[in-house]
Amino acid sequence: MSTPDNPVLASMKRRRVTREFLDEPVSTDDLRTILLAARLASTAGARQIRRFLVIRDPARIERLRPFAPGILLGVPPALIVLATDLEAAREQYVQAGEDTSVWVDVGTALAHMMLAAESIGLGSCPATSFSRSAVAEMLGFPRTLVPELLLQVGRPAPRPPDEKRAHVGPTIAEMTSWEELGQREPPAA
Amino acid sequence: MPDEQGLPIEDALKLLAYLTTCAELCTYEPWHYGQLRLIDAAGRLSRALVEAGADAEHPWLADLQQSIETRKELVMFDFAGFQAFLRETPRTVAAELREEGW
Repeated sequence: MSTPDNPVLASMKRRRVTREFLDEPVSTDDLRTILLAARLASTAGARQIRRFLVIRDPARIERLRPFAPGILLGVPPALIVLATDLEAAREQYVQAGEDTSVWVDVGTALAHMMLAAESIGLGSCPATSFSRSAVAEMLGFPRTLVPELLLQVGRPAPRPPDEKRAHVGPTIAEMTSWEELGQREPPAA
Repeated sequence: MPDEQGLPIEDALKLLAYLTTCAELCTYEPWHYGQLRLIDAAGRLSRALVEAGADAEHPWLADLQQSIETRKELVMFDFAGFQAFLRETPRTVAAELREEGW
C-alpha cells in the first residue's frame, strides 16, 4: 500500500494538537473508543499498570485548572487523566520512578488515544505541565495512584489558517542514519 | 466574595494555586515554560482585576489582559516574538502606571 492510500498515515498527517474546543459534549461512545485505543497500545512486558479517569463535569475540570497550566485555553469538554497504579506496578515487579519504560508506555497509550480521537473527528491535546501532587489531591487519588498526563478532548473549534503555525520539522533524511551514524541514505540493495 | 479592594477572594485563591504549581513546574521546565507561566499569571491577575471592575479606573487592564491572552501562544511557534512581547509588556505597564501618576 502506498503512503497516500494508507489510512493510518493519513490520519497521522491530519492530526493536530487542538487547544480550543467547541462547547459540545463528548459522547460516552466516543470516549470508550479512545479508551479502547489506549487499551490496545503495547506495554513493556505486557504489564497493566495504567489507569484512566474520565472527567466531563466542567466544574471538576475547572477546579483542576489552577494546578494544570498545561490546560492553556479554557475548560475542555472532556479530560482523561492517565495515571500509573503504583500498587499494580509493585505487584508486577515494575520499579516505577526508576524504570523509564513506564513513561514510554504512557506515550504509547497517548499516541493511540490521539489518533483514535482524530479518526472520529475529535481533537485532543496532551498536558504534562501540572502538579502531580496537587491534581492527585484534588481528584482524591490515593498515594499509590500517580497522574502522569492529562488529555483534553473535544470537537475542535475552527481556527483561521495561519502559515506561521505550520510545523516545519526535520526531514527523514535529516534525522535518520542508515547502517552507520551519519549515512543519510540507505545503501544500494 | 470581594475583599475591600475589590479582588474576589476566589480569584485570588485560584491565582495562589496557580503560582504554587508554576513554582513546582519551574523545577523541571523553567526555560520556555517558566516565562510563559509568569506572563500567564499576569494575564490571570489582569482578568480577575477586570472582572472585579478595576478597569473602570484602569482601562488599560483590559487591553493588557487581551494582549497576554492572544500573544502568550507565540511561545509555541515564534519564541523570538514571544520574548519580544515579554520585553515590551513591562514597559507598557510602566507607561500606564506612570500616566496614572505613579
